Amino acid sequence: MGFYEVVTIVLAVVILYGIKLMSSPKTAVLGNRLGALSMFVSVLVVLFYNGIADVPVLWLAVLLGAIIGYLMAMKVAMIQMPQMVGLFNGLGGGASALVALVVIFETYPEMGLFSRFTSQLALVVGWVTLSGSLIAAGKLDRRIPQQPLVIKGHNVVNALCLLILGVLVAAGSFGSAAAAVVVSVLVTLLSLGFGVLFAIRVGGADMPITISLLNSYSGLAGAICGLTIGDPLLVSVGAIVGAAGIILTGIMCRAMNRSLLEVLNGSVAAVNLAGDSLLSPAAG
Amino acid sequence: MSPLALILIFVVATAAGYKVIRDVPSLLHTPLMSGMNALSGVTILGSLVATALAAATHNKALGFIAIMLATVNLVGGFAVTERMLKMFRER
Repeated sequence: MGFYEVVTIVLAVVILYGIKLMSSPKTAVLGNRLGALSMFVSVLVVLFYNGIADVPVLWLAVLLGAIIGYLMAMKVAMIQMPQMVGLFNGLGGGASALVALVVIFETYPEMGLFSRFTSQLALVVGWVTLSGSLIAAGKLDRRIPQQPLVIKGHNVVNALCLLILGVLVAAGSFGSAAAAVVVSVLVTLLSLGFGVLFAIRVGGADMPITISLLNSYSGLAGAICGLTIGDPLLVSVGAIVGAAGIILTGIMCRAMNRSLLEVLNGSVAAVNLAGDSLLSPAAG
Repeated sequence: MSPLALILIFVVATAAGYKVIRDVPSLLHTPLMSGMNALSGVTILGSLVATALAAATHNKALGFIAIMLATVNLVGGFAVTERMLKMFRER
């Protein structure tokens, strides 16, 4: 086991510990800071380990992103926090998809079947996370009507989307480099559309659950991206977030007395007692 | 790294993630979700490497955007979570 693998294990354990601390009120602040610190260390490790710490463009992008993210986080009103979390989450998913695009465009001929397959998968999950999160955030912010929007034959359209995506992912795994570029663009458009179809039919009161689910997706997108480029640190942290996000989604469903299927089908909540903690954190 | 090793890591990390969240009080659902949202910005690691290795200008530009988005997710996510948790502590 090399240096990078050891660092990966240490950081993954610290991040797990941070999440654990975040599930108790007394230690939650420490848990959050531990998470932030381990991410900071991870970035430095990746920069220096890959010998890319002297590329100025990278630092510029990080600096710009950090300033924008910080300002957005500081300016948002408490009541608007949930939609801000949704928005941030979508951006993370979009970032994973963009990484997959860059890797496909740059290195497709040298990629093995595993990398080709996972890169297409990262595109799907990443773009669905982006467009789904934007719709969810828009609904919470009341820029989009809050009631579920169900189109005619919604289930059929969704299933058809997934079926075509499945075919495209296969085509992107086995085809030529030129075909892969076309397939990737098609997968991008269709996945963005599917994210909208998936989130638009969820009612406003159920949005916290949807954002939690999309949160899990963005972790998954990161992990799949890690599979594509062969980075164990990205795989492990992404997988941890993906799994923990699914669990949290389940816990929230139970707290709101809803099943995930009901939520995703856009059936209106009959009882909604304990679950508004996310909609009104200031009153929580 | 071999695909098999990577999948193994994926499975182990998934199991660990499953184990770590249990009986979260509903008061903490929001900040916990927010904290994990910040962690999903981990994809910045991939975007840094992909951008540094990209040769074509348009790919560098896509990578640049990816790094920015992931950093907004990370920094904004942790900052928002910190603000939420401060609110809990003050009460």
